[in-house]
Amino acid sequence: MDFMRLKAWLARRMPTVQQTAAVYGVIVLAVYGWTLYWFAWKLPSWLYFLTLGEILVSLAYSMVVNFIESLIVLFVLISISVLLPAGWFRDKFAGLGSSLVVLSLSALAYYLGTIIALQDFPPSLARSALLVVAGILVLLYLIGKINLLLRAMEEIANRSVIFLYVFLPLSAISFLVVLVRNIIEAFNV
Amino acid sequence: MSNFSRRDFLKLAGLTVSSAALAHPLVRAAGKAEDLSRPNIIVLIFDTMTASHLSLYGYPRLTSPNFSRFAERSTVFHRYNSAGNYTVPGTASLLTGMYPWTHRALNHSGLVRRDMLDRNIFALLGDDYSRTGFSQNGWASFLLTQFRKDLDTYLSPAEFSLVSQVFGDGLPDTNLALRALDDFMFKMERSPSSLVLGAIERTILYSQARRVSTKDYPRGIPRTGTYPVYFLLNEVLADLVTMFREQKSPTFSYIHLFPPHAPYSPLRQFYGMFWNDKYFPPSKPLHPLGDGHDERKVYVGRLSYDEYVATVDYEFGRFIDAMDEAGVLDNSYLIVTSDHGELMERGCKGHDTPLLYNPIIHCPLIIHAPGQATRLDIHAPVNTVDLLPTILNLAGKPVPDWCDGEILPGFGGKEDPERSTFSVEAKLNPAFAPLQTATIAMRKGDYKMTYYRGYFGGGEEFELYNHAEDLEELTNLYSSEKAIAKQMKDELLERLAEGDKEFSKR
Repeated sequence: MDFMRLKAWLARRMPTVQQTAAVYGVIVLAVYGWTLYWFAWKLPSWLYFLTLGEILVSLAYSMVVNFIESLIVLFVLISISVLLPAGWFRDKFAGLGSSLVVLSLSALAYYLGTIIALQDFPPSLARSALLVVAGILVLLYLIGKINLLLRAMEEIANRSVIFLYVFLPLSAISFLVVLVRNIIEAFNV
Repeated sequence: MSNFSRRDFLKLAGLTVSSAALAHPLVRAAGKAEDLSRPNIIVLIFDTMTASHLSLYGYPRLTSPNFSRFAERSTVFHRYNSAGNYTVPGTASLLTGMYPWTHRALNHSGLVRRDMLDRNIFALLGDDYSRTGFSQNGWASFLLTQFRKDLDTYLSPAEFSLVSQVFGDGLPDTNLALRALDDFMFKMERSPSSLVLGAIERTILYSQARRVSTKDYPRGIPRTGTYPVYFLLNEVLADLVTMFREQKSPTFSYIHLFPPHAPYSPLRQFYGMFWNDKYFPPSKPLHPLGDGHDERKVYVGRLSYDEYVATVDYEFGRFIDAMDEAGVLDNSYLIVTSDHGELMERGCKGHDTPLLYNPIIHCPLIIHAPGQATRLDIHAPVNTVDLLPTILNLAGKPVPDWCDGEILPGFGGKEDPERSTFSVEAKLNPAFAPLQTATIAMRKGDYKMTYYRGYFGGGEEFELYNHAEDLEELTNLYSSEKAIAKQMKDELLERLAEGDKEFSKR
């Protein structure tokens, strides 16, 4: 009985499937896009000494990692939606969720571009991270209030769904490739 | 029972402990029967250690008193050159006995030709030996994982470390998993390709590394370059002694340690020890293919490197004492060498360079045979490719005809002062194409010729030095000693064409 009540409560607080798919499209675009950017950067060197098969398998490993990452981000967003009052986030999930993804992953990308080794971690990192989080929250608030921006983000998110049709099947194939290779190697070694 | 020695006790203890290793997923050697009639063979690599900076080989700074002590009961090779000027070609040549133009592990993190994977020391030693491979250097680890099916025990680069995060070695498909995960998705030294998990991984690693005390290491505790692996060299070496002691004979162990590779992290007692010693190496002109560092910066780099070499030497001394105490050296050949050297001159500070001057290819090679009590010095030119046939000979195995190397003098081979040996650098050249952008050094007798192909705007250049008179390589004799230059040039180009033959046809 309790489980049924919990399920009903969750159903009330969860964003719709369409909204979730739209935000997931943005997540997939950002997460896979980042990896593909670095893949393109690495590819010329790999072509010097790896076979095409080895390059594709390496890409398959990357896609499996990307898939896990995208689910983590989606889980965080849905959790926020479930925990916050519906009017704050859930009702505008597509617009605000995708804005949050773009803003937070952009900040992360910036940090990763600056901190390339452990010695680069600035002593003030925690303080600056708090400022960045505060900035993102302010921007989210503004986006939520400015209808034009919110609609624009929703439109972008809705169009990003197309990437799910590209990357999710590729991830499934990648997962199979990784699985099969490891099973074969486990017997070879 | 009265004949039961301490050594026998240690071996018995090792037998008991090693049977427990059956539970280790990466170990499948424990089921093998012990054969005490064959000696163990240990290859110990100190990455980036040049013979030119060791007092053992005449360097004015006292950087290696413990290597010298070990040399007093070993065979010391004075003209040992690496087949490459950085880890990939040097290590691949050691493990395969072939020159880089044949095995084709040429590029950064490159691999041995896939159709030549059975040409490796582990496969050739076969099941008679229990074979262990361990490398802290990620690029050498790639090579080990290529040969993983021929290894009984593959140890992760993270083994024996204080703090580390290596993911790919946990998967059976180690070679590509390491490359995709650790060398790409979670790569250190640049932004990780994984946006979310990469950030989480880096943050966790940062918090772990912060907890490690650095009081004995003024420049930070030693770490590897490719992977986030932090370690204490004394602990790594102590663990290795334990491992050797517990292994069942006969064993072959390839151990590739990262120091004294940059970042140079000397112990406090060696930090600054050469600052006021008034030693200044000969001034050499900037090389157009060098890194362009000014002389002062190169000198400071040399100081740091020498401090780290002295640290490695100190830990090596303790390691040898522990090996003696454990009785490991009683039945083991210990081959101490390096995969390549380091260049602290001509505007260079490191070894990521197309140059092949003496310090970057002149490596230490010291071999201790079981029970050896006196020193033997060998002055004939030898090369990395000679280690594979020598090891096979020590193990009583035949040397395959495709091997480029020869059995080392003192271990069944003959001294040939006029033999030609080669070092090849071609990191900017595709592995599956003829060498069009490469530097090749050829040693023959007292002479060394260096051939630059494809650099200098696509052209070619030659240098010729006489090491008997000019070990610092300051006077290029290419234009003045025409007869020798022509003879060496012809031989070099012929050998290069032979190495390229298969790729030129494509």
